[in-house]
Amino acid sequence: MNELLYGLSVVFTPDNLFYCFAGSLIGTLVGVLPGLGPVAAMSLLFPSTLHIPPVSGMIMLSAVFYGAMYGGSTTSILLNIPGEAASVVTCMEGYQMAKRGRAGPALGISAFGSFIGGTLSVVGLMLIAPPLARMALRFGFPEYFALMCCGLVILTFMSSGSMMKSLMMAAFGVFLGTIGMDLIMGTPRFTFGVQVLSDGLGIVPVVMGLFGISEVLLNIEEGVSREVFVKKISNLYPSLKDWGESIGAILRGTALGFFLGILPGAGTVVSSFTSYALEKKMSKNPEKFGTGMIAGVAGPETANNAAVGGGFIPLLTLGIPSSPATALLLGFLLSYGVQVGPLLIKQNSDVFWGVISSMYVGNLMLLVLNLPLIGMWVKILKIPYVILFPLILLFCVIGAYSLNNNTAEVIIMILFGIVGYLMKKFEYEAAPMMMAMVLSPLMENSLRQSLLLSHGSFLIFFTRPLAVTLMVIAFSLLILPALPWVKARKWEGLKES
Amino acid sequence: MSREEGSSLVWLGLSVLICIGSARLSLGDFQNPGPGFLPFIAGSVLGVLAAVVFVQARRAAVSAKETRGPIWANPGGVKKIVLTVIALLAYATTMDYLGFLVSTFFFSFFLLRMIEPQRWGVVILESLLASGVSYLIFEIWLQAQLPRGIFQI
Repeated sequence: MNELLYGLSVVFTPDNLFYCFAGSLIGTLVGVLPGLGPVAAMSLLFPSTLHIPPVSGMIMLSAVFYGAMYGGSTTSILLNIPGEAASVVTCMEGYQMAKRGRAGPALGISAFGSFIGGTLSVVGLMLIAPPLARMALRFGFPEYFALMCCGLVILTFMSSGSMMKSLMMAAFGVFLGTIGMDLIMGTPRFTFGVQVLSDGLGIVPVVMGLFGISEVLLNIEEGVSREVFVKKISNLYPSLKDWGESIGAILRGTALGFFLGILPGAGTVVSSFTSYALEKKMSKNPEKFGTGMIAGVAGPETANNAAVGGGFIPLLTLGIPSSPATALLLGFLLSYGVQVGPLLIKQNSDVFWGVISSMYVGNLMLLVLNLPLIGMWVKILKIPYVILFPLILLFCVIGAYSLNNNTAEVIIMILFGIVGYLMKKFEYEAAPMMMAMVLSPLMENSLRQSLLLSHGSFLIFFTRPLAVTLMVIAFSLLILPALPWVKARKWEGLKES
Repeated sequence: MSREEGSSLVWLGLSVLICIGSARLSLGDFQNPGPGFLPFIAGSVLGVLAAVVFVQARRAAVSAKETRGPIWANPGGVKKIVLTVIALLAYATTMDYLGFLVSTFFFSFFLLRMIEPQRWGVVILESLLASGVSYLIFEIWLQAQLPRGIFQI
């Protein structure tokens, strides 16, 4: 309790309240706007946050992340176009509700569900993170290396597409992470004499390229046209009957989202899909799903917000990100020289407790932002994409440039934009590549230190209890998809989604 | 050649380059891994997986023809992408010389006029607003130190 009060004292300063509010507002905006996801928006803001204290930057970037989960439902419900990936499933019931004149309750229950899921997951985070961090203090280099391998394999296992291709992207990401000066010997690696590469590939230009520029290129090619279905929205507050039908879904969505959020790769998207499938299975009228069932909006919208809280657990306790957004937060903390991992809670308790406490405040702000300002979000949705995309590109360029006041970063961003576009075209996922790139320097250090400890024997990863457990999990997940029944079930699951 | 075969061959080629580059950096030994050790492992894994994807795609192509349409079915869309990338590269390379305000104006102007042509009024107004407002936000408020260029503005 004392820690929470300390965290609140960190948040309740004019500056941090402002950053929390600004992050929530920007997060909702990018959630509302199709074609700009939370990861791209966070990387856009990244350079600006380097001028402020790390705790303020973390508060703002985290608020963008969970704020986008709130905003994403608006476009799903009103336009049948998800504002971001975690709200894809909300289209199914939310848009049907809007067509039947029930856009208000759909938007209302998604905002309340998001609030409940978001807040309860922060409670879970607060309870689980400190003991886990204490346990992680006993981890050595071999355990860390095994943990990172296991995390990457889980991420590729959870990917929606081919696991083989995801593993390829993870391997390529590991390579990208090695570009720059070798930390032990000081040898430049794959820098080709380019000065800006000697410190390694910057996470921000890569992320902005992969998730921002590539998305714009795809949208330009395919053409984004949208029509807001509902002109006037009334009855935003769900009735007692609506609450009765939704409360179970909200509570189940909270638990499901929170625990799936902890797993690498599962995060917000998988939790929302799983919640929808669960609600359909548990419903007395599963045949009515697809016609505008409010539980099908409440569950997934709650789950994707709860997953955000869960996703912070591995980041804040082990220093291992579970999603591209948390990988970006890790990059942010590392750029400040903050020791991320089990020592964070002791050495940077303001960051640890400040971020957790800010999530309570931010969720409350988002509830206030989302319901009364829904009219404003609808107006923003009416801005044609052709007017918006030059602005998105412009902000990406400014974001990359202002990192080091260097156009080389902008060129890197553009190149990764083209790579990201081609990857989407050829169905390769960017998330494993980005996560592996962020983890690569940590992996390399753990691997080399472990081999030094063991005098060159790889058996060190198979003789220590925790390391061997993690390695066995990783190998099992690598073998599992080759089994015919798993393959069939994954395919069935995808078809159902 | 299917899209899977083509893309896996590209990755395979890239993995060979990574492995050669890593070997030149010195791989070291297991007891004392060199700077090329991890990139070599990453490149090898990438290469092996790319080869597997290629073989799988080849087998699939023999048993059944690819049912999906061409990857770039819309020539107009491709033209827009090429123009946008050219505009981005031109913007990035001329920003230092022309300065932020001028280059941003021309960048917005080009995109609004060439990608999905808008009315002249909209093009000029949005280009002016984009450069002016972003200058106020990033240069004045956030002090991002954007380039002033030859016009010193």
